[in-house]
Formats: sequence, structure tokens, C-alpha cells
Amino acid sequence: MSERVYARFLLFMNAVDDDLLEEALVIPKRLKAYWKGLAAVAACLCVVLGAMLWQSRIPGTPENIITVEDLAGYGYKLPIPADVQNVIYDLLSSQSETPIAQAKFDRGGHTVTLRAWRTEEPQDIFGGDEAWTDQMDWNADGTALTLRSNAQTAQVSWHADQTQWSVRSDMTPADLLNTVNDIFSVLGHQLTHAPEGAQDIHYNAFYLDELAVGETTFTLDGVTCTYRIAPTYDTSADFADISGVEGDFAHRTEAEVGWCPARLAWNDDSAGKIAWFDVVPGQLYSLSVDAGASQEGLLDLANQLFLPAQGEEP
Amino acid sequence: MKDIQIIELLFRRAEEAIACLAEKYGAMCQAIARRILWDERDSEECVNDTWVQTWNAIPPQRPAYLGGFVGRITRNLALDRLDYNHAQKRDSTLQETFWELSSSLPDPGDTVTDEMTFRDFLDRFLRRQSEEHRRYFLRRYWYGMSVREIAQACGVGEEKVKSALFRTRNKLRQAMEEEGIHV
Repeated sequence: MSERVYARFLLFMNAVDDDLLEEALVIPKRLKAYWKGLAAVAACLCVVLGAMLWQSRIPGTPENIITVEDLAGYGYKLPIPADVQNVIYDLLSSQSETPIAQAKFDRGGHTVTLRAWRTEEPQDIFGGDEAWTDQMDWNADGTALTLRSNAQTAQVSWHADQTQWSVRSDMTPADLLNTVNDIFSVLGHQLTHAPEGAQDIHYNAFYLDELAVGETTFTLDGVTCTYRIAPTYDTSADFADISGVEGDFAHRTEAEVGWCPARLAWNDDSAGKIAWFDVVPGQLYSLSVDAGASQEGLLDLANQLFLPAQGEEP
Repeated sequence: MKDIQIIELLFRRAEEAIACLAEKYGAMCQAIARRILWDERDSEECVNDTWVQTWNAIPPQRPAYLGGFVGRITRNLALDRLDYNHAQKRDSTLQETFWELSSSLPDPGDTVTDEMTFRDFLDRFLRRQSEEHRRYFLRRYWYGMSVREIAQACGVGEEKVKSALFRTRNKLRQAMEEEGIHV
């Protein structure tokens, strides 16, 4: 290679951003699965034959309408909120013998797709067809949940009781969280680990200083509480306060929530806040109250709320 | 072991993370280094340096795809060592592959585009392509993979990869001509 061509070579080689170079090595799961299928011709034939038989067994073809009873035949009972419209059920073939149960319904002018699949391992049951720009993980009632979103679509997924659940919609992440909360309510759970006695629970998701923040507000003994979670790549000791609460506080101190460093600020019996940071999953937390603040009260409530995203006991 | 578990080990500063990285991505990184460098020992050193750089980078970084992250580090480390091979007048697989791209592009004119302008141009061009075509293009000309390797890894036919590469090369030549890029 001549010096001139070598110089051109180096120019090209060093002109591509790292994110594109890393992306180039990613293989979409569906492609990997496709190739494996091609490689094993005999297995492929079995799959095709099996799929044909499967389609004949699943009443998902146009001439048949899937009912709640059909889903129950496969052990599914989908938790549909009470105020939805135009519910359409379906059964989709999967990689295993157990089909994926699906319900599509309208809520607030948007279509929501709820899917469930009985599987021992967490799975992406919508496939890798969306390029997500944001992701948030949290833990509620012992279940790890993930919210992924981009400008058009939001999706919440969780795996519990050997069933993978996913809810996807073109509604905002905040509206989807409220829908998922209603689905959780039908299942007998709460979307976040709200303390006992909490009332008037609402969910929101938004951006704050370029961080994707998940927010739960609730009332506890007449006090309005705001609990926030945000993933971050910044692991510096001077972690960000995502409470959004500013002002003069008479007291400021440092403490720990679980194993996490925490910073508190409060006025006696008035407003207060606590912010903490779990470095392992890279998650920021905050809790703010509009009345009745004290150091002990903030720490106690923060410890009640904090369920690490990685599923460990604090 | 899943990527997220390896990343957690790195965040906990657990040295077994290196063994897990080597087990999961060692062969891939070795192949990347080999396509850029001739010397087997150089390639091995690149891969070992990859684990060190990964250890130093995570935390604070938390890559979405660990394989791409370490593969990109190996590639960059190998390129840094390429000068020696070049002095030996031996072209690596990556350099030979680059010929294919270079020969389909316009010749540089009298006025050569500066590096920053070219970076900006190439970045815009690549991001305009579909993710699938960009993946083939970068794997071929920035990682030096053969068409067969790309096709097998991506689960598509070789003809599809060849066709996509041909079209992307043509688009790049056309874009360079339209924007007056001479490199």
C-alpha cells in the first residue's frame, strides 16, 4: 500500500464515531434465530410442519375469533383494566410450545398491546424491532420492571411468576405507566413499592436535565410525597439531585439509604427532600415531601421505598 | 454469562470480570485484531490490552452492548499498532479490504478536504444509511470481515451482503462527488 493510499486508509479508519463502530458488531436477535433455523435444515422442516399444525390448532386465523376462554385454555388470564374499549384477543406462535397471549385495546385515544408468555426466562416478546432511546429499570412488589421508550413508542416489560409480560403503546411513557399501574392493580400489585397507607398514587415520566425520570406521587397521612428514579451513566461522588426541589433549608446532612450515599435537606415540620444514588445499576433516587419533614422521617420513608433495581436486599 | 452480569462484576471491581470477558469475547476480539495485524503475538497483546481498557472504562461507562464496546476497543488498539506492519510493507486483511472501497471512490483532486470536514461528511453519510446496510459496510471496510463472515454472522445470504455493499459504495462515491469531498 503506497503512502498516499495508506494515508487515505488511516483517514477513513479514524473517521467513524465509536457508537457506529460498536453498533456494527451488534446482531439483532431475530437474525441470529433466523440463521440458526436455516443452518438446521431438518429442524427447520420440523418447525414448518409444526407451525402448520400449530396454526390449525390456534383459532387465530381470520375465520376464528380468539376469546377469553381460548386464552384460558392455554392458562392465560390477561389483566385488562376496566375502562378500556375494543379489546381484541389473539394467540401468537412462539419459539416454544406455549403461545404468546395478546390483547389489543383502546385507551385514551391510543392503542395498547398487552402480551404475556409463559416462559422461565425473561424474553423480549415484541422482538427487537424498535430502536429505544431511553430505558429505566426499577423494582416494584418484588418484580423488576423496565420502561423503554423513543419518540413514538413506549414499552413496559416485566417477568413474574414464570410469565413474561410486555405492554406497548404509542401513548406517552407517563400515560403508559398509568395504564400499566391499572394492569398491575388487576393483578393485585402496585407499580411501585408505595408505603402502606399511601393514597392517590400517580405516575409520570419526563426528562430533567437530560435524564429520563420516572416519578410516583402519593399522599401519606395528608403529606404529598414525590418519589423519583432516574438512570445515569455519571458515577461521580457528587451525584445529581433529581428531586427538582430547590430553596433554603434550615438543615442539611448526609446519611445512607441502604448502602447508598444520601443527602438530606429539610425545614422542621415543613418541606424536605432526600436524594440518594445506587452506583451498581447507576440509578439516582429522590424523595421529597411538602410537609412534616424530619431527618428520621425522610430516612425512614426512603428506606421503605428503596428497592434496588438489581433485586438485592438493601 | 450475560453482558449485564459482567458489567456488574466490573462495577464491583471483581477481577473475575476479565476472565468472563475473555471467555465470551476473546475469540471475537482476537479475530478483529488478526484482520488488522499480521503478528499473532501483537494480536494477543491487543486483546489483553482490550481487557485493561475495558476495566478502566467500566465504570463509569455502562455500554449498551458489551460485545460492540470491547470489539471497538480491540480494533482501535490494533490500528494504533499498524504502523509497524506498514513499515514492513505488508498489507493486513483490513488494508486489502479497504482497497475494494478506495478503488470505487473518486480520486483526490488538487485540493484535499480537511480531516474534520471529512469526518463530518462521513458521519452524516453513514447515519443516513439503514442500520442493516451500515452494519455490513462497517463490518466489511472498518473491521475487514469477509462477505461470507458478514453473511453468516448476520443470518443473510452472501448475495444480499454483496449487493448492499455495492450500493453503499456507489452512494458514498455519489455523495462525495455531490459535496465536493476529496480525500
